[in-house]
Amino acid sequence: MIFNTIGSILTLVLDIILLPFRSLPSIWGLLFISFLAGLGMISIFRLTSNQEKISRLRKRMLGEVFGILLHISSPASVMRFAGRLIWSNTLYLLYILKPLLFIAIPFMLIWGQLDARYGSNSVDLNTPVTVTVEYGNSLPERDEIDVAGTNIEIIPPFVMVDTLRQLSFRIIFEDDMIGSLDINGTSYSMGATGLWNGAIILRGFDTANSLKCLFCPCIDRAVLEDDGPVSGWYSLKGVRYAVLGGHWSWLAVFLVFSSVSAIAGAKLFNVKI
Amino acid sequence: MGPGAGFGIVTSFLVILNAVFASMLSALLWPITLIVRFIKRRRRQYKQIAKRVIVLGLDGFSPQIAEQMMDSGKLPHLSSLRNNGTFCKLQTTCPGISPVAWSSFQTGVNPGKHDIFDFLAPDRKRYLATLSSVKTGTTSSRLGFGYFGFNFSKPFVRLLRKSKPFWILLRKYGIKSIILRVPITYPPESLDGQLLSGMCVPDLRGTQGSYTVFSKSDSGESYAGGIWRELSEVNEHLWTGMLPGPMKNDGECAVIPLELKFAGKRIILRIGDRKIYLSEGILSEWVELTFKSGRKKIKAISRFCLTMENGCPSVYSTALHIDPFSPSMPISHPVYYSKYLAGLFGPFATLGLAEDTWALNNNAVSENIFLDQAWSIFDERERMYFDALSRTSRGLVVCVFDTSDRIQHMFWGQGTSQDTPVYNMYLRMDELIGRTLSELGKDDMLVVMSDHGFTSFHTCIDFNRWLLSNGYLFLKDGVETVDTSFKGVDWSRTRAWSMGLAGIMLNIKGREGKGIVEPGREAEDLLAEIADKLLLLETDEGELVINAVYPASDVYQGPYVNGAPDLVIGTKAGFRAGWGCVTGGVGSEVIYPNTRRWNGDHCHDHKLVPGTLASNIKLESENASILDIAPTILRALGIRPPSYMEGKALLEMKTDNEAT
Repeated sequence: MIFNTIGSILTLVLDIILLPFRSLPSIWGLLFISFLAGLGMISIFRLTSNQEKISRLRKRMLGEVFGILLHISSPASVMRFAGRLIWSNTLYLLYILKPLLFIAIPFMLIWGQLDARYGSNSVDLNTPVTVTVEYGNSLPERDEIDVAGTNIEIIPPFVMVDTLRQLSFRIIFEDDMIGSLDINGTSYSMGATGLWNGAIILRGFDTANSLKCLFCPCIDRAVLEDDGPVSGWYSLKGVRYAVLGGHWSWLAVFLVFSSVSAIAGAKLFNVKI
Repeated sequence: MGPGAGFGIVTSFLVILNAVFASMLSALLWPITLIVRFIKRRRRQYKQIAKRVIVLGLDGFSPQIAEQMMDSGKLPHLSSLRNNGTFCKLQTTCPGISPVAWSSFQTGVNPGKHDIFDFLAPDRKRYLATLSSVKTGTTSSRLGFGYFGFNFSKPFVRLLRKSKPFWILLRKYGIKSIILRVPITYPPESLDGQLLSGMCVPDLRGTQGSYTVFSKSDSGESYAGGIWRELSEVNEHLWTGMLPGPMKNDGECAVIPLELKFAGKRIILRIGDRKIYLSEGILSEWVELTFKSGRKKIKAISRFCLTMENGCPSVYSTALHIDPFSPSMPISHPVYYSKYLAGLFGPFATLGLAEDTWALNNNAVSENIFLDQAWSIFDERERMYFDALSRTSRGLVVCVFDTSDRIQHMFWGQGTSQDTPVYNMYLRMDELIGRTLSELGKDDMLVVMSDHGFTSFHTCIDFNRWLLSNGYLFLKDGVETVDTSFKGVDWSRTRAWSMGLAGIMLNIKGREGKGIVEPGREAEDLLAEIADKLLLLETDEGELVINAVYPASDVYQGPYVNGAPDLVIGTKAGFRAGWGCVTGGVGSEVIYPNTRRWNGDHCHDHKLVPGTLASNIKLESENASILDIAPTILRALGIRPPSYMEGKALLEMKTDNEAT
């Protein structure tokens, strides 16, 4: 319940932040969030790390690098300095462990949100999507399964794999990109959560009460019915963004631009990393 | 995980990768570099006596005091050198002043060949004092054609010491050197090894060290060698000020805001983007400061100390040392050597005269703070020195410690009895010798030496006043005294002038800007006359104050003798050139008491203040001179000293033809 609430709040916050970018191509919203995330994480790094210690250690490491340069013609000295450098480096990793742990949670939350919003193409009105649902104990007989849709058309055949307890079929969205799938009377959301660029695009549903709903907002949280499936997923294509003449995944865009903003932030706010 | 930490991890792996790569590369290149060095290096002329020579320079370490203490059972490590190796007096240069003596030490020649005769060199055209060892300035050039182009200027720093330090000669023989803080090595010269410059490295204000005192109002104390800045009271808990830094291109000083906050028991000093906690009467750690000059950032380091006077705070800031980790001027060779040292051991004093003697002189700091400062500089130097020893199994290590000189200058008046600062300093220097001895191998040669000794300085002699009184120097009508730079001197009648710690110059026609004395016979007669009269100078009690007067032509030989003072005055112990006349002042009295805390000195007749020489091997100690050290070290390393060197190798050799 609490994860659901946190997840909803986070989704709402992101929706608000992305409000100005709703009518723009998705890449702009992604760039903006990447930029903010970089600044946010560098701020967390600054607050949770011992900047003085890191600064001193970085200087020492640089000193050891210069030690290698000074003695490049003496292998014994070089190895001694290299050993010291590796030891200093281990210390450095220990120093950044704490900020790293602090950063990990918000980072994963943002990761999930961005993956849900920018990771895959929303459904195409004319392109069929394959739906696979999985049952918990055993796969019911075909005639016991009643599949219908709201704003979607179900396209047979139904493929049943007993050993995997899975049922697959195809669908096509009829009017717009929001709809729902009804299986034996239980409804599961499909498509995007809104009709704007940057809205969460659902890629499946899950009835397990887990952290998934927090870290994977693209998985819709569903209620487990006695004769219903435990989870399901939809075949959606990954999206590529045209940036600087290349085709980048959302993750590449995020990592590069959040890093750039983190470096800029570090320089601006004099953060030792 | 995240950009910040992600970068950390990625760069960490790169660091490990680079370290391994460098090790492998070094191991692979080692045989090649060994062969190249073997082919390129010159063959040594003699069998080497020592594989490693260590020179431990203790500035101003007096042989007389050391002997007294050794005789009373103190200084065990120096005593062991005396018993098993060498301990003797070391003749110093004329005059026995650090820049002169250390220049002769490193070049093996007299001042007439290395052109350093004093701290200050007179600008004879303008009658101004200039630094004898370094020239700084800017060169301007124009790029382009006709109207199309632009002018640009480039700053330069030039070492004025002539001749060649002996460690530069070692390069030809493939012998590596580490030279630490030897005076008159700024700007650093290229050598096979590493060098960190010493005395004469300036601060960021371009001076030889100017401290800053912040207080609510000017205390009325002298700020010679420092500056005063107002500390404004915002409220009873908050005080603000501005720390002036280096000069910008527009002629203004770059400044950093300073804020002193009393938050309960905590005293917080915010300076630029740094925040430190101060405790009253305790010197802070080094604080890194960044001054902005246009688009350029200039990094400095300084230490701070808070004192309270009548409920008002006063903050002392040391001179703005060049940050060794980001030096704005070259202070080491290679440039990254200072970064290496700062990286490994933290920030350290880079200013030539790092111990703030002026601040103590002017009561800007207490004796305890001064001693804290001096000993922490000693600790920094010690770390560098032992690092150099640990990294050098063959070759040369030279390190000069200045603490001995500064403490004697400032605390000589307290005597040398037990528990005085001078006494404790000798004990600590002996510990340093002991630690060095424990690092020695069987093929190592240790030379412990000082450039001069020490004695008291209780009375000042104003040589310019004396010249005035004796009709050699004239002031313009209405001028009674001159503070500095001969402002008010009537050069049309003046025949002689004094500048520096021991020199008198004639106002020679064609040489000086407004010279009137004809060179040749007239000048020689005048010199003889002044010398004779000076020898008769006495105090009111009838005590003679001059021990000897040396004409330049008698004590110097070489191409630069013309730059020397015409007469070098050797005062008796206790007497020295007055503070004002050193920089071209003319006071009201010829002889007057020295009331400053700086009450020990060595700027007397050089024969009265010999240095110290000690070694773990037997040396010919009779008439050993500072000029002999360079030839001795070269000879110990199996190299024939070059013919221009004037000293002799002090090694007790059976034959000189013992070639390898």
